[in-house]
Amino acid sequence: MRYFRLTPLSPLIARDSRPFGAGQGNRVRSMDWISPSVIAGAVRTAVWKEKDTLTPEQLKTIEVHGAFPIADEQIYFPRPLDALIRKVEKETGIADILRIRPMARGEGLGVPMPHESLVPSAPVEMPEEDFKPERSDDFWSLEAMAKWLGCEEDQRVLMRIDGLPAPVKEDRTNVTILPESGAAEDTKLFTTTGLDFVRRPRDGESKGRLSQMRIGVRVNFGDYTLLAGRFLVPLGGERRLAETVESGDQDKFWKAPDALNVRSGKGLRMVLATPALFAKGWLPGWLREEHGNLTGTIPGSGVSVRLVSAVVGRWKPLSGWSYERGRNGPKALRRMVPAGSVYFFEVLEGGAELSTLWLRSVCDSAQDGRDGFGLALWGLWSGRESARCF
Amino acid sequence: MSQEVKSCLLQLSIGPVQEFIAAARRTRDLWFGSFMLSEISKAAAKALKDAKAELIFPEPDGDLNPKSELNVANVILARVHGGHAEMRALSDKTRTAAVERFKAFADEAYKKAERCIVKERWDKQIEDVIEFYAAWTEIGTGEGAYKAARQRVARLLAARKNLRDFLPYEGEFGVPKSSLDGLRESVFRDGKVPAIAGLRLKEGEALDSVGLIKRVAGDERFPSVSRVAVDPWVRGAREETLRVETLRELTPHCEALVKAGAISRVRGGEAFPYEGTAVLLSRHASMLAECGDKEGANAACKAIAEILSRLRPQDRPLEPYFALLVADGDRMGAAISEIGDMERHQKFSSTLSKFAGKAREIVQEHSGVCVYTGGDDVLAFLPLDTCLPCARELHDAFGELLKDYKSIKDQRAPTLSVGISIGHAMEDLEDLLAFGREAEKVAKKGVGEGSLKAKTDRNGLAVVVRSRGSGAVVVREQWGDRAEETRALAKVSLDERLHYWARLFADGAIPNKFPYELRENVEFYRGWEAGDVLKAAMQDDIKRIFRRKDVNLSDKERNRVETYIDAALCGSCQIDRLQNELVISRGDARDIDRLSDELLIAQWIGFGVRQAKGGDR
Repeated sequence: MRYFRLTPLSPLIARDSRPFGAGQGNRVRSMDWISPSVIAGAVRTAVWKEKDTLTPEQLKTIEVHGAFPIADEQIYFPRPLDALIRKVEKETGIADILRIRPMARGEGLGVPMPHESLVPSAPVEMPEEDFKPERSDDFWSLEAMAKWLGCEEDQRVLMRIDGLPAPVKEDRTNVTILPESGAAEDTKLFTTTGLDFVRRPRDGESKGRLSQMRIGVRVNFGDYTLLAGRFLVPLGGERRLAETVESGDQDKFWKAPDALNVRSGKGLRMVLATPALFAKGWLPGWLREEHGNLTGTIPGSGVSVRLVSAVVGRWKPLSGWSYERGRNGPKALRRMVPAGSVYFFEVLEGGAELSTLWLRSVCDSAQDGRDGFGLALWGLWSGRESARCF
Repeated sequence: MSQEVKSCLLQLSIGPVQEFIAAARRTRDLWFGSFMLSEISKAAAKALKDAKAELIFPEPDGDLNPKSELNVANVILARVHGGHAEMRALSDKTRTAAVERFKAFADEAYKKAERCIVKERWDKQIEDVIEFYAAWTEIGTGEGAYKAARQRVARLLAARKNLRDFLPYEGEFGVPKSSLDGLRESVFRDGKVPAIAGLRLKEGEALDSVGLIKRVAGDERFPSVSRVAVDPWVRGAREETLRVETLRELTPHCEALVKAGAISRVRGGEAFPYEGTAVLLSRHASMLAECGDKEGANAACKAIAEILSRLRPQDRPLEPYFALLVADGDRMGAAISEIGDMERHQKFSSTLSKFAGKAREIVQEHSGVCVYTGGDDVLAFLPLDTCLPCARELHDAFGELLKDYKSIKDQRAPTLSVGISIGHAMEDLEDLLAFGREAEKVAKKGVGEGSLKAKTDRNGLAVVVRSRGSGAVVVREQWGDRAEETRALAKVSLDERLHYWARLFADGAIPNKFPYELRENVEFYRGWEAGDVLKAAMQDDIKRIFRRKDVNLSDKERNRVETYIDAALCGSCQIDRLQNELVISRGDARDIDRLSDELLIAQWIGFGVRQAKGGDR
């Protein structure tokens, strides 16, 4: 394994799946964060530039994991969707968080689910009065994540999230300049939106400084190693550049924190740190119906589990442009489970060591895993279906 | 003992909302998407009613037939007799009704474009567009049972929506994605675009099934933003005999453009029933690029340009700016949660429905077009000169209708916050829409944290101008009462103050460069220490500008303006209405900033006012 940090030299354009070209609208939009496959493509291209006899098949065996933000010597992960924030104390940054957990069945819940054996998930200790939840930062620090995942109990918690907002979107308007006159060509106007990786003080903060957000990547080169430890790669739309530097000490970011060096009890929680592709849409292909339940073995672990409930965000399209020789064009569209989605399992046999599962891909296809999709973080929950709405 | 028949509250949520109402390039996409979502929800509500359910949302007595006037929101609530098994069967039946209504729209679109569509791709896409979530709970007995059940069912539904399950989807290599939102692949065969009236694809534009349905299903035409933007000009032209002639002369050429497929005829604007692009010379080039019969359209464009060139420059249509209005009720959740029984809840639902109907009328009376009015939501396009009076009437009508729903806690009835975003009609529609929704958010929350602390959030009016090539300018205040003409400006509500300034600009009483000169002043005073010296200097300086030769104010007007300058730049807040954080003067350069923003926004509205009254005379 080798570890790299990418520093974008100008705002990166993480294109969504909409086409762009002459006459197709004058807007290039950007998603909130970069897709894992974009980073994978960039790293493999860098390898190919050192050794251009490698075939696409050979290059695809290189495992590129990540695209996690790194700022101020901390790594961050997408906010977990099983946290409902009631309030954040402005001065201290301490958040009052309710845990979204599988609901108690009672005498029948009156909610048709995608599978009979599943229950919906709702916040535990929901107050009688409704409230508008606060939006958390898009990313949580590893430390906050460890605290969130390590707690087996389902009660409400007061904790500092120490979050990181997604890069600010920056619009640039471009014109076509006629070389002969130096004037802008009529109607040839287009706007691009990029992600600015320079962090500014938050709104309302009187003090603060500029700092650089970087992108952390873990690479397993396998048979095709990359010699350079420092190089430039074009990343995303418009071929904006990112400086890539190998860093030896990033290991610690990628290991499960010590607090999570535990064996799960009955309740096991899977949080997607990168978007996942599953053969059954929202449902991992390694879960099968058996005696009326959805059960299966977590890939590469031997731990057998039953799915109890899940908190899954709306699907996101995955597309892109293929540059493979002889296969140049828009890629087929696929649907991803968004990062931050949470699956609640009941461990059927033995217990799972959280640290051995940490940041491994749970996708059904090995290639999707090598492309960086479906990297999962693991945590605990009580294993009791106890949340209620009333 | 006979078994008691249980009754349940059943709540449904139908989607996808974003895909239907946000992804849009043309106004048609936006309008039809909202219409379709309402029709699908209506079909679901009808299925419930036909099964003897007692509807709460939408209102129980509304007309649920397809294409009726009633706009149905995508969340449906009803009381139904029966237990779990009955609820499950009913929810399945309702889902089928919703999906079938969607498929009816899909069939209409498919028939129009059949020749150019890849059928297998179309069928595969249509299958899982509709999202449908259901939850129910038994209504217990005793006091508070209904209220408790209502909250429980809402929370159960929210819990269900925590799992947005979806089917896997494997697309095809080499097919471009929808230009609207990129969620599905284009349904056109080999990139060939069918020649269908109203399709109006840009070169290279791709549409998936949902995009195509929004563009071509149904027969109704919807006015484009460009028509709304040129509306003040059309009204102004009708005022003057000479220019009425212009409108008449333009007619055959506009008809020629319609025939060439370059523009559409629009409903509602009898004096000029065409898209505004016809008279916007700067848009002719791109209009020609999008149309079928280029030769015919070209000749018509030339003739139109010739007719307009005979007008004085100030009498020609201006750059097409218009207002996008987004309104939303405040404290609606609290109002609903305090309702203790179903009958009152149904009455509340009917009241909201009444407002939706009233809102449509108000928007039409102000020469605007409603994209959507349902419950407490309004989304409309309005000409510059009528957007403020329209916002005022919407706000007052809402307050009047809901005045009986005062909260037990603070005795306040729901109010309406209105955001108005003024932008260029050729700006990307998705951006314009986002700007409008942002304006609504500012109207509700105020700018910064101040409003929450001062309790001046909600019941707000925010106006934002985003002119091409410069940053956004915002003003926001809470609504005040309607005032008579003579009241001191500082005591007048923001909408009327802006209109006052707009009229002065339109009459040529204040020169257009004025707000910018004020801004220069800001730079001069920035950094000065607040205090009496600064206050006096600023007041005198601003008054000096207002006394210049190129300002033509009557003595009465000058007096009114100068009193306002004293109040707005007074450094302390003596006037009770001035409690909003934007109006509180800080006694430094930022006060002038605020004044210049106010004038700048008024100036844009003034452009519309001037065109509507037929230019200067």
